[in-house]
Amino acid sequence: MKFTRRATLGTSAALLAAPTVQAQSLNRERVILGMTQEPVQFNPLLFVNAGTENVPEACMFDALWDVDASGNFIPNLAVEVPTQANGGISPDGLTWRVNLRRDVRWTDGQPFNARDVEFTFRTIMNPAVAVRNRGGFNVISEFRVVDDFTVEMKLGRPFAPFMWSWQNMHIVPRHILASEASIQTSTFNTTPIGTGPYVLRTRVAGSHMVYERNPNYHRGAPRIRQFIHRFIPDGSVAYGQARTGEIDYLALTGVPNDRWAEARAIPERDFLVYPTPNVQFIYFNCGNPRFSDPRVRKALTMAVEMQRSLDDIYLGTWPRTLSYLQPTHWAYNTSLRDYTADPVGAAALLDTAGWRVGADGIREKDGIKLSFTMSTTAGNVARQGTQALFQQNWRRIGVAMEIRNMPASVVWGEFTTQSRFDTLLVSWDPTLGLDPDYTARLHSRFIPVKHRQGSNFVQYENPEVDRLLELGVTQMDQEARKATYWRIQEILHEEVPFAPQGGSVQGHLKRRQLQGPQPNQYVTDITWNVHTWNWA
Amino acid sequence: MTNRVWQRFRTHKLALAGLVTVTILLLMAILAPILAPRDPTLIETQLRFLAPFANASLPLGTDELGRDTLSRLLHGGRVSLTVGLVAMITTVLTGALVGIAAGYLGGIADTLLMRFVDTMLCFPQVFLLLVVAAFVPPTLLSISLIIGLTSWMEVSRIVRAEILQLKEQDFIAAARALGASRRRIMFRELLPNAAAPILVAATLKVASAVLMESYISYLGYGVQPPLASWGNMLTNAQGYLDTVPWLAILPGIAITLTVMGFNFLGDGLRDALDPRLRMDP
Repeated sequence: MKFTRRATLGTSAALLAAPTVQAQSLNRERVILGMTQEPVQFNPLLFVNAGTENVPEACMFDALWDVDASGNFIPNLAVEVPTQANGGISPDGLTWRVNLRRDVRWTDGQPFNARDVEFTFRTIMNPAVAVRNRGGFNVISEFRVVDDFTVEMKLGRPFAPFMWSWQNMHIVPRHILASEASIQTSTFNTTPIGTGPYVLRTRVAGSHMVYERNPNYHRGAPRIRQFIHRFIPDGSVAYGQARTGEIDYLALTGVPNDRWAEARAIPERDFLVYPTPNVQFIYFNCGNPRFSDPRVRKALTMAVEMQRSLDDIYLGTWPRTLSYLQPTHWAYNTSLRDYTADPVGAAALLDTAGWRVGADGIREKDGIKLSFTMSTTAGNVARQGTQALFQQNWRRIGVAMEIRNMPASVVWGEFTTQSRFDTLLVSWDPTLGLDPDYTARLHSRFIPVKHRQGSNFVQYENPEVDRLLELGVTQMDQEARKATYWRIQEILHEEVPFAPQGGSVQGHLKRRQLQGPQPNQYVTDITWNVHTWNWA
Repeated sequence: MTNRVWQRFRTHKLALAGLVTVTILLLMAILAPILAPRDPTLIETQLRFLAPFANASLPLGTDELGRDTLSRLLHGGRVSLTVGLVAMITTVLTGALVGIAAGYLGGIADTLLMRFVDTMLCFPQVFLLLVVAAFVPPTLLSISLIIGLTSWMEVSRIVRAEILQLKEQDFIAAARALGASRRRIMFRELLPNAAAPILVAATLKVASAVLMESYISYLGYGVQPPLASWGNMLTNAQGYLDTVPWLAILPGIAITLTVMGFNFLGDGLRDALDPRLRMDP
């Protein structure tokens, strides 16, 4: 009888979810942000669940500088962003001097100063603390506190993405944490003290967190008194609450792809498109004899209907990208041409490469059949649809692909990191902020099965790309860097160690009167400028 | 005797309906390659979300990728019914064997077997299933066997309880006095008398096995896409419940029919087979 009950429940759920939009009255004293996931680690150096745990970070902590929606760095705890022009960075790019604001206080009343920045740096580099990212900090060869409000850092080598390191990691209070035996288990991690625009007042695990404004915030006290972060695990329920106005802003996974048209038409609500740093790819394991020849990888990419997969499966919500960057990124190579959805060209290229159709209709070469598996997180309906489409595309040119999906913890574990897959359907972001540097995922020294470091899971090796990646991080001039990364993207477009499909975007729903939230593709969460939010 | 069983079964209207339903479903599954109008994995996105009866060549409409729902239901039925039946047989065989052995032999055998059952029951079935599935490559047969081998414990308890009560009855004492062997008593005397609860449990197991298959498919250890099973059709339809409800309703109906069919069939069989009713005309 279990199933009849199930079917009945399904039907009643369908009835309940039917659009019954009734406006909830607006309380101008507070703003409610709804998300499907819940933050559990509030220490900005330790959290792992980016996107969700960035919310407490943005509410309670500050970085030396932030990045705005056009990718420009804007000062926060620093008086100004150091550049070679203002003398903050030495002409050789190796010495960085940062002046700090003098009017900043921790929310417990203690003054903020250079010792806090130094402590944050030492904690990040402390091997006993499992911090979330050491990228860039490991290049610092000397850290010096010049005076109470000035720090100076010497880099071991020129490192252009260094700016992102201090944008990414927020400053923690030395006067509280220095005396802790273990930062990992400190009570600070659930009851933190920061310099941020809001102070955590109450937390009901599994339900919501309430923040009150910090009246002494150094960038001006927020105009909305209370910030409430509410957790609604079911995406469609969360969407329902955003429609009725039970929550003022729906972030993170946001509006389901198939509801974007409907969401755009809801009165008194704004629909915002939020590009995430993630791009979805087909990952080819270049260490597998089937994929070692770049021509095979390119032919397989030519055969798939990438644009159609985005139009029909992601319902046109994701932009097509031809590189590992979102097409709106400043370093994106706009000269690349899409060569996919060309089965004839793909078949011809495979013939040239020596992969001929065998008796069973499957291509083969030297006794190896062009049949392989593709894996991704099981249960992701859109990805499964994409796989099924690619499978059909490949079948037409004599290539057999079998779908073998697994739970997230299995497929992204050693199966990926030890390059045991044939192909993956996966989305990744650049490794240090939104800097176009891709060393960890592309450089031949960063193949974990060979060198025990990095994330070059496709085992791609190309000396020219290595050279360009090494050059790119030493260039301080953006135009010069752009040329380098354009060339890298051009090479990747021909050699295809991974085939980009589209840039992942989220659809957010906002109450129209709420001013301030601004999608920013250079950060992972909408609350990056929460101190400016305001009711119109 | 068989004749009498059939006569009794025939009078049970619901049981007959169950038998007919199950037979039709099985036939549809067996003949799926002939009956299905299209390739169940063929994607035609321009035809997606067609409503049932809207298009003559796609009588039950299409899913989010424009695949034919009727063909997927027919082919999905092969998967789901195979899993359901094989898992049920495995469950009942294992469960009945353990139950009879524990109940009739008693003593150390009983203690050991029942503590083993307790241990197995300590783990939620889904986790037990996932642990085993992680080591065994997912094929239709292996999935069915795994489901069967992780869900027999309740059956063994039911059977043991029944046996404990039966073995004190006079006909067992009589059998013993006649010098019947242990095996004969266990399988010829006790088993038929315990058939009723076993059959009921078995029919229920078909249902839970179909559902279990959808759980483990969802977690990636079951039937891999793009192959259809009723369970994964239901799972995929989850996101479209309020916009395209028939995507969930159609496999839901298939599962409901299967479960009810087997249940009524089980009911009827129990009544027809119960030896204590054998004396009635």
